[in-house]
Amino acid sequence: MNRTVQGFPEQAKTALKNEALQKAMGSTSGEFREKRAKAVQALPEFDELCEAATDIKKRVLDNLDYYLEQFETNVKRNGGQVHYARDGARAQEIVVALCQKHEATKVTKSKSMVTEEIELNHALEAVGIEVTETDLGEYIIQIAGETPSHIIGPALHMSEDEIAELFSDVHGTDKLEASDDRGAKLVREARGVLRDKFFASELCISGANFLVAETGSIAIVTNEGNADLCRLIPKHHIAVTGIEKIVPNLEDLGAMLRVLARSATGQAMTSYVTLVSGPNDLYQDPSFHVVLVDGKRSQALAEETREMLRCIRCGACMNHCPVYGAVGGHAYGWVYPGPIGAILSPSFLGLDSARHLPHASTLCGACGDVCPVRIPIPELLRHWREETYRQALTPVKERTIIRLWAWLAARPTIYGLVMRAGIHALKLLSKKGLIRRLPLVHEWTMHKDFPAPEGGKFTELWRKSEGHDNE
Amino acid sequence: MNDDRALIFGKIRSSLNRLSGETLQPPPASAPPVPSIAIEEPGTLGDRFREGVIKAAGSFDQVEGWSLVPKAIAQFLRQHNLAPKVTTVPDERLTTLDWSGIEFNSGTGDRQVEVGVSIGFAGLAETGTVAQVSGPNSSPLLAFAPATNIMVLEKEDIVGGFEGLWKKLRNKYGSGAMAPTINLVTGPSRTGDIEQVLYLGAHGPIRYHVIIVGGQD
Repeated sequence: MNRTVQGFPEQAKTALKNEALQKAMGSTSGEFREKRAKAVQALPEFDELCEAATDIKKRVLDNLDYYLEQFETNVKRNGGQVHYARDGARAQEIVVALCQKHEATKVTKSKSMVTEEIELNHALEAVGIEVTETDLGEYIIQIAGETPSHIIGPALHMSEDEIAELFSDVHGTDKLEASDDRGAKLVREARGVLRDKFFASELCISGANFLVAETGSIAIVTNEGNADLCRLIPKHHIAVTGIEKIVPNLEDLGAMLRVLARSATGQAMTSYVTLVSGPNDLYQDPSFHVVLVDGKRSQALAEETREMLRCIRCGACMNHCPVYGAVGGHAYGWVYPGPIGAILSPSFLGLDSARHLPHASTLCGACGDVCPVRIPIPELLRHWREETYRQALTPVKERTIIRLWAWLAARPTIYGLVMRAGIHALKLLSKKGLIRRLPLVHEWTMHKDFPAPEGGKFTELWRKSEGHDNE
Repeated sequence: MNDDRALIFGKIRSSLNRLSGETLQPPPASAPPVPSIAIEEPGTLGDRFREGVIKAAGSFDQVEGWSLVPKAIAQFLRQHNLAPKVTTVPDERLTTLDWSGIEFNSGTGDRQVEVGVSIGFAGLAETGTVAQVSGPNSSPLLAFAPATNIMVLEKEDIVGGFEGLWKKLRNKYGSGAMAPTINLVTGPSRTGDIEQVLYLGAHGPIRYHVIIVGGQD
């Protein structure tokens, strides 16, 4: 299914009616939230570290040119090469050219959101390079022909049964029947298939969670250890990531790792953290390349949503979002779902196409509260909403209603009359104090009754209440 | 590509309002706070480290000296019903030991190796992590490809947390320099990608066992 950011309203409706997805979503977010809460509670300095992590990222963004230069110099000193790509198309060209230069036809990949963003796999496959995703979740969605639905759990929208079906189709085996150990058997099956791929690999493509300017290192974080097998077996390694992933030094990296693991999976430490500083020294003539992708990031640095560039892709905002929890990641139509995606997508893809996403929020504020780098997500969502209106991207009907409301709200007397009429109308619609079906917005009463207004207007009740008689 | 570099730096500098087009050195900043779980308190490092290993779904053993390492490994393999056959990193501290009773190899490791034995560069008490560095006497692959990852670590190499590790790395490689590959390993390979159920041994190690050399503390 070809999903787009424009298609959010329809995709969200489809997702809400998808029973299998609803079942999968039901447990996913809750478990992430619980694990995170426990891990945060176990570290008294967590908030202090979040403040520090925020300051680090602020300093990096304020001095991005300086730190990028420092990073580049140190990668070169370590025997690696740095390539810059203004956009996804250029990044694809660079990576394809490097694979061809190193005569690599079989490539193993570890999970990278930036390579999803630039659709790297399509470009590699188009020139006959076999690419295998090696993170289990990424592998599942790759063979299913899907895109990730969550930043850290790309296949969490799929049930064990769907995965069993998929493995049977793709691996040509009998479908495993449901049993207590079917999950473990599926993991073992994937392990076997991927081991062949790892040991046949001629080149590794990875992402990078952080770039350390002081040492010219990239840091990769995984629980499966797949990035390490990707990195250590072939001679060549290409890391693809965004220009904003820099941290100044190792001490800063420590702070970031401490908040990332806890915010993402609720672990004190992810199983494998790897610092790569130069080519793989298990071989003669190895190579190491870092491809730094701009993709509108340098432009976003000057925009009001600049703070989104602090994001470390932990996924906590989506795990705490009631809208994400209801519609899942695919409804958002692009690689970055959830609250942070609703800010990144308008910036990277254009507000005209992604204008629905900032509205996919109740503005409950949970995303902003749990963000380890204190991105004011609700404020930035509101900013995009205002921009949508200012740039006249909303439909005439919506604009007219808002204009009418603004006109009314500025005229207290007329507003009072209209409200009184509204209260009266709602009372007429009600039976025993409840309204079964609201006209125009009947979705609100689809699953529960709406309470009829009691008493009068708020201002009247306020005046009548104790102590406000004279106001 | 050079065009892209110039273009990106130009846009960054324009976004940051760099009037002269020059890069400015950022003002000095203080280091982030070190949480209490990572403090260097010599008497407690061993306990904290061992606790971390257990929390990370690993196991540990402690021996008086290097000569006792093969025996400890043999015992671990017996306990887990594994064949007495290991491949170690090509480090003299391991290759010169008496391995009688165990089929012993040393090298970089391949897909046939079932039990890999590596030497830790540092242990982190904060999380039960063993850091390993690549180099002529080391092969990080041995900690990733085999189903059993045994890490041998000298007691003196246990530090409080990341900060202690960075200090050790700077002492060894010099400020700003690093080994080509540094692996921080905390437990066996794990995945939660199928319905968020935890499975060990997604790719590499199903078992993570640390042997601390240096006697009880």
